[in-house]
Amino acid sequence: MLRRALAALAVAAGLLAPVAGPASAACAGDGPHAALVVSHDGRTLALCVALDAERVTGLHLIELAGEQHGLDHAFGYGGQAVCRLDGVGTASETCFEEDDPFYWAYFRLEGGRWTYSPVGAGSTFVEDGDVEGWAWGAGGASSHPRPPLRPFADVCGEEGQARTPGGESGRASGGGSSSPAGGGEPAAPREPGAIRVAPPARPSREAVAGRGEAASPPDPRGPVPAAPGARGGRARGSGPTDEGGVRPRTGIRAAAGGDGSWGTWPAGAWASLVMSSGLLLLAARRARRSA
Amino acid sequence: MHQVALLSWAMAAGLAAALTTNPFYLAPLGAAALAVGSSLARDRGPLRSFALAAALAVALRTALALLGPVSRGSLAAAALEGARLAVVLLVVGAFNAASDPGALLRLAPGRWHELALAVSLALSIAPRTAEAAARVREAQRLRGLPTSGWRALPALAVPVLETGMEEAVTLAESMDARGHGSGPRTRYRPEPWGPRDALVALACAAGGAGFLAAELLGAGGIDAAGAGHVSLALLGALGLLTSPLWPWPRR
Repeated sequence: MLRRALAALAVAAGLLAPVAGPASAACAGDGPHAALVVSHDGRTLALCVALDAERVTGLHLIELAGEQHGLDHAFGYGGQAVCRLDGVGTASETCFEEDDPFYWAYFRLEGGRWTYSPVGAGSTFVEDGDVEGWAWGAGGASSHPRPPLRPFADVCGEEGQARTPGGESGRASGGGSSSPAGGGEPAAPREPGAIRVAPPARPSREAVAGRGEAASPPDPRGPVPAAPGARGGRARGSGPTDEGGVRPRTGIRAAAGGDGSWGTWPAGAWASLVMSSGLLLLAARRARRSA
Repeated sequence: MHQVALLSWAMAAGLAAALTTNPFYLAPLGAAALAVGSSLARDRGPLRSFALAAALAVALRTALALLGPVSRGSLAAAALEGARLAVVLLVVGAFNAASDPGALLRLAPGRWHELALAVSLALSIAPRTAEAAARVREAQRLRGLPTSGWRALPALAVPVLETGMEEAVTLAESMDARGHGSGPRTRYRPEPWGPRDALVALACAAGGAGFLAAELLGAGGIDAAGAGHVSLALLGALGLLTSPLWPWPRR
């Protein structure tokens, strides 16, 4: 009930604050984004995914892509392993058990090259500007086929939007067919200047972030002309993006409020560790005193 | 500390522990339970045995995961579920060690008194039986009778059961003699409800509500999948759950 009300609130807030200015692409809007490249059987999906926190896990990025672009996905092993993407792979809980050498390999774009991730997607962090890749195939760290290289600016920048129109936001047509992605119905409008609706899932964070941004001081980046009449944090996205579609990362980081009200892992984790060790010390001292 | 304040702490901490599998919330919560238990304990026994049970829960849950298909993720997930169960056990143990069954019983409203009596008797039966068994074993050993093996079991069990019956009869007689169940009850020494108890109860209710809200909204990285997120707001709620430990001037 509460959840639904908040979702409605978030959607309403998104509708009330349209992205003004025809120059802004839908993807290069406010907030952190990451690119997700999914490739199998010659078909490649390159999705620009809006993050709902400064850092999310690699698994959560896939969930977000599912929410925002309708990317079909299934996790196994207690939600830790990626079993199916874009209609390819099994949806069973133990997806590696079949004697099938094919699996979804996890790559991360580092220094312009794909790196086979040594850890699972549940233990990696995706931040603004990161590119994650998933490729279907067989083999190990060196022999597994790589997804096609797609720089972040290519996927999330304005030019990339214009150049590869069909590849984005295609709903998986299922069965792993290598039909062109453009056939799927677009999950979100991609035209420049389109109204962006806040992703309905995880409404609270969206709402909190929006509120926080609205109350935050002006962007320290400086010359961002606020759109006339536009209100609230969503209007921030109306600022011009840098040339080449690469958004300045620091400016978004520095924007107070953002998602900072929820804390991110380093500070929170340290606070948690300090808290537990302090309490343990207290417990030990009390136990010794009364013994 | 008033039993209601203690009860509200136990309920809020237990709720928070049951809701999360994030190790960064479970660790401070478990430590808080240990600290509360060891600083407010009237009797150290329950806390120790519950801590043992908690360690066993983690080990068992992880070992169970080894039976199925093993991966690092599935093992970690199992260990975290075990840790959640362990923290719940620690909270229950701390409450058990710190609470006074008699005072709890007196808190029950009049019409539930019979039920509360039955519950508190049931709860106190295990330690009393263990005590009686130890006494009987001691006596048998002094007499040079065997105390181990299943042959010795009847010789042990009969006196233990007999003691239990006798104690029940004694309790019933003493309650009868004190006029139990006749008219409204009065208290010779009323339990004081002070500002500290109110503060603790309020803080714990707020902390538990924080965790409930995070669960309902799916925020703050309350699931293990979001272990990367540790929300400072939820850590603050955890801080509220340490309120029984806050220093308070003595009257």
